[in-house]
Amino acid sequence: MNGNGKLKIGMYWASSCGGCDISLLEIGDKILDLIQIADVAFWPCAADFKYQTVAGYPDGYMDICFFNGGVRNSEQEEVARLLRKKSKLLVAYGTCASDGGIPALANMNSVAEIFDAAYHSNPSIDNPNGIEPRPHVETAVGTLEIPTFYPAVLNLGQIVHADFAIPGCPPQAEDVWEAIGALVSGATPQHNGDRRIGCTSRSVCDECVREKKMTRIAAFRRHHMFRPEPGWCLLEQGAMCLGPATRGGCGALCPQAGMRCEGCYGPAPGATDQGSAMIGAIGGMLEATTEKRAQEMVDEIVDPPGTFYRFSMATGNLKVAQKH
Amino acid sequence: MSETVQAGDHKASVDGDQPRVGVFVCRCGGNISDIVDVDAVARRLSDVRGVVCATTHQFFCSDPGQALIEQSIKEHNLDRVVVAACSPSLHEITFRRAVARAGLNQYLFEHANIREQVSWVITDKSAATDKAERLVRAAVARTRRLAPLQKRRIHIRPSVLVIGGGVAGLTAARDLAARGIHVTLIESSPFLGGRLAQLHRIFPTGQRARDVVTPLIEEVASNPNIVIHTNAELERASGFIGDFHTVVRIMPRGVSEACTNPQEVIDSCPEETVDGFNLGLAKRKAIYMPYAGCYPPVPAIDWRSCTKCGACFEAAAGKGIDLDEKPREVMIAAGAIVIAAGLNTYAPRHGEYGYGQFQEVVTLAQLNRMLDPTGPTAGKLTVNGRSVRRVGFMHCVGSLQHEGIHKPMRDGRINQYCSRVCCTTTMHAAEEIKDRFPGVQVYDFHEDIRTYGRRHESYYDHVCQQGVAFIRFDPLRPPTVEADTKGEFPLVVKTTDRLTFGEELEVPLDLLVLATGLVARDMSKLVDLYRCSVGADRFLLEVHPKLRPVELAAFGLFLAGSVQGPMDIAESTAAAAAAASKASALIKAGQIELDPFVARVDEHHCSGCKVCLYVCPFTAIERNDSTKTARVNEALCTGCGTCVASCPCNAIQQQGFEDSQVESELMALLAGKPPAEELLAAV
Repeated sequence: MNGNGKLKIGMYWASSCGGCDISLLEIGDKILDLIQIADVAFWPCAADFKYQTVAGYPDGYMDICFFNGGVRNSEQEEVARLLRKKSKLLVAYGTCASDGGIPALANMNSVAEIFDAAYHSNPSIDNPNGIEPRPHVETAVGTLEIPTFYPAVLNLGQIVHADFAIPGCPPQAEDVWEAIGALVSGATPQHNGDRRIGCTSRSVCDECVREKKMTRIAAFRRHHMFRPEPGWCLLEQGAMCLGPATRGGCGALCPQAGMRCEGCYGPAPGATDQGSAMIGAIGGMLEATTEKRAQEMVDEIVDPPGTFYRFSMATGNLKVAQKH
Repeated sequence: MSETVQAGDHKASVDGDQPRVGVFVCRCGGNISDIVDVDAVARRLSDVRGVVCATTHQFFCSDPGQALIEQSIKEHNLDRVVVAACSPSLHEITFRRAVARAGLNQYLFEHANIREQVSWVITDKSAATDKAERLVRAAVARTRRLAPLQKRRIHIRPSVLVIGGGVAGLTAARDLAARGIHVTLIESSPFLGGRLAQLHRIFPTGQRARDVVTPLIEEVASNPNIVIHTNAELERASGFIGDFHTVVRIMPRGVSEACTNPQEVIDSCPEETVDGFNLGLAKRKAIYMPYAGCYPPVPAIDWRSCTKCGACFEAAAGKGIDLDEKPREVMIAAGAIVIAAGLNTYAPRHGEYGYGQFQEVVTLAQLNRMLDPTGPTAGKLTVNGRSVRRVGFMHCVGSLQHEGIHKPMRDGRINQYCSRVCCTTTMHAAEEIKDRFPGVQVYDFHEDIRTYGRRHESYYDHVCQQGVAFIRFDPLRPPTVEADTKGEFPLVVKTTDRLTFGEELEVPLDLLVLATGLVARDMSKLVDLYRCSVGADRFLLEVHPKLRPVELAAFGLFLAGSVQGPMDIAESTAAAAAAASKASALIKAGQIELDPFVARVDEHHCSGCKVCLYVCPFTAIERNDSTKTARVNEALCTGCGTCVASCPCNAIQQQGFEDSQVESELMALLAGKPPAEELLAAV
């Protein structure tokens, strides 16, 4: 706390979609309560603070800084390191900052493949000279520098120490408010030993009202293929619901609405690799009695990495980008 | 029924305290030290964090060696012990006991194998020493994470349930009862004796099967330690080793021992049906006894063909006949279960070698009934009222099947295994035909002949001398069976003979006998109730074919006889005696101690997703519906770790193999290069 006795808080976006910034506003009129006790010291999405402003802050100036988005390039790494220095508590906000999130799905591909898709081969691209961004470009007016594109998306914790992480894509408003309340109180928020807050100590299944009948999965079905029976576990009905392998806290919003859990709160507590945890879980639930049928069922799963690691490619063990 | 045993006191340090590890590197009298520089290993390990003493000895398994370990534990106040020596399968227990004698919990011990895994397989001394050091470092890293554990002690109820009343079940029941153990024997059919009762003469003694089975049944039936339930179907089961609870449903027999004139009663019945005992070769009444001298000596009513006309009731003057008898349930408590459920013979498909198409094509089991003088043809070799002049045997029907050649059975599978008993049974039957009907010509169509057993080959030698003609067909082009167009014989077998270099043969026959193989019964209920392991051939699967041949992976379940795979009578009774012996050893011990390496659920993290309930092969996990969390029954848990691997929340850990323990062991083995660091290095 500085000067006026109010907390200084910050919010930054790195490799993210902007949804996290919106979700912070989703706490609604509680935002008024927040600014009663806290001043915004940095929030590019909402207020006009420059890099130099933050660089000029004394170390540890900000009491709490929320960092959303993963780290895709050198600029984001630089800001992450700066914010670490300027903040007492640095909090990874949202799944991209916690586990890589959707952008980390690109870790399946090399930089060359990503550039090829982004600057050359996509049908909507008009780039007759085949120009690609480069970190250093000599021009008539001198050298232009842009951030270096990294070979993989990392989460905040892989760059600097993050004090806490609030998972979710985006985190739910109630969870966010609860986490903020805990953080501003000055006490160490309750967590599960993994410093994740704003979530439960169990998986999504704990919050889901759908029940298992202990029937086995006969075939995997996508959502356009069937109408889920109410009250019955979606996974048993053949939807690839990631609830068992996903951190709870959302209130099982999607499964309650008949939509399978896509896993946006990241790995369940205790698990580090969300995808293999889910694969391990369904392995014993298949109805297949022969290896051949089991293989057929596995082949029916569309886009396995995107299904099992949709939100956690940066922290999962599937380090595909490394092969390139 | 389970409780924990105090094994050693709780001298283990709690988390946070620095563990005090002692490292003992064994020379194994040169077995290790000739290759591994054990002094260097001890020296290098003494620098590792937490290691307070590291020493070597010529033989740590010897009395002075063990004494040195015990003394060091006391002297250095050790609370973790690592012995680097031979394979843990050899001396892990030795060292655990030494550790316990020194007052330390025996599970705070770790065994590093630097003999079989190092000195016996590596010749380069420096590489061997480095590997030994790495293995011991890993053991130390793991040991630092160990927690004291207690053995589970389980009391064993002094009674055994034997499932199956065939030769294996009868043998097991007799042997168990002879040791004073209370036995309940259940049989799903109305009569004891199983397949043995249906056989005619059995090899290698040539005795009549009934002369073997009748005294055996007599011994079992007259033993006061044995309770027999026939017509008993498995209904429900719960419990675990030492305390199984099985509910069987006793189906109504309709007749009791109060019926004093069984033959008159049977004769009075107007309903005739196919005689299953004689494999469809004869008819019998709806109220029946399969053969004279069967047990129990009380008729049974076949409810599928009985019309409840009341004729039997009148013939018995109302004594002992109850046409409205209801099924009843009986609960059987047992400390162990012997499974002797037997097997089935392969049922040929319609048209397979003419089976079902021609009355002159029969199975080997049917021929056995025909050769029996008390059987349906009174021992005469006649078909359709015509004496048999030429008989053929077709081997491997339903066995040694080839993909693409043989049509799969209903479950989509083929039998690729050898049924083991049919070759000798065939030779035996051929010998009897030649002996009893010298004029009959016998042809033997085979792909291969495997009279593998002791005294079995002599049957083959003898029938060769008797003039049986052997024809070896190409398994990829099996023989065909057609009606004989010349009309002199009903059948003709067309084949090529590899013994005469592919000669095309046409063999007219009066009778073709299919040497049908042996297949597993539908045991889904049994498998489901007791969580038995099933092999790819659908027979029940033992833990290890050589080391634990009659035990199932689930504790307290033993296998007797051909439920485990095709066996002849001698093999079945040997297996049954082994199962009885194993079961009685368990019963006589009165209690067992089990390793504490069971799964434990962390209720704080369990979200009740039930994934573990799907995978547990031993139904050891249940979900508490009020707390919505899983719970492991320690008496049922075998520590297989399947639930641990499947839990998506890591809310289940296996004691002694917790993630933190295995991870620290692995990290020490891999000398600290986690993938994340490499990824960062790439950035």
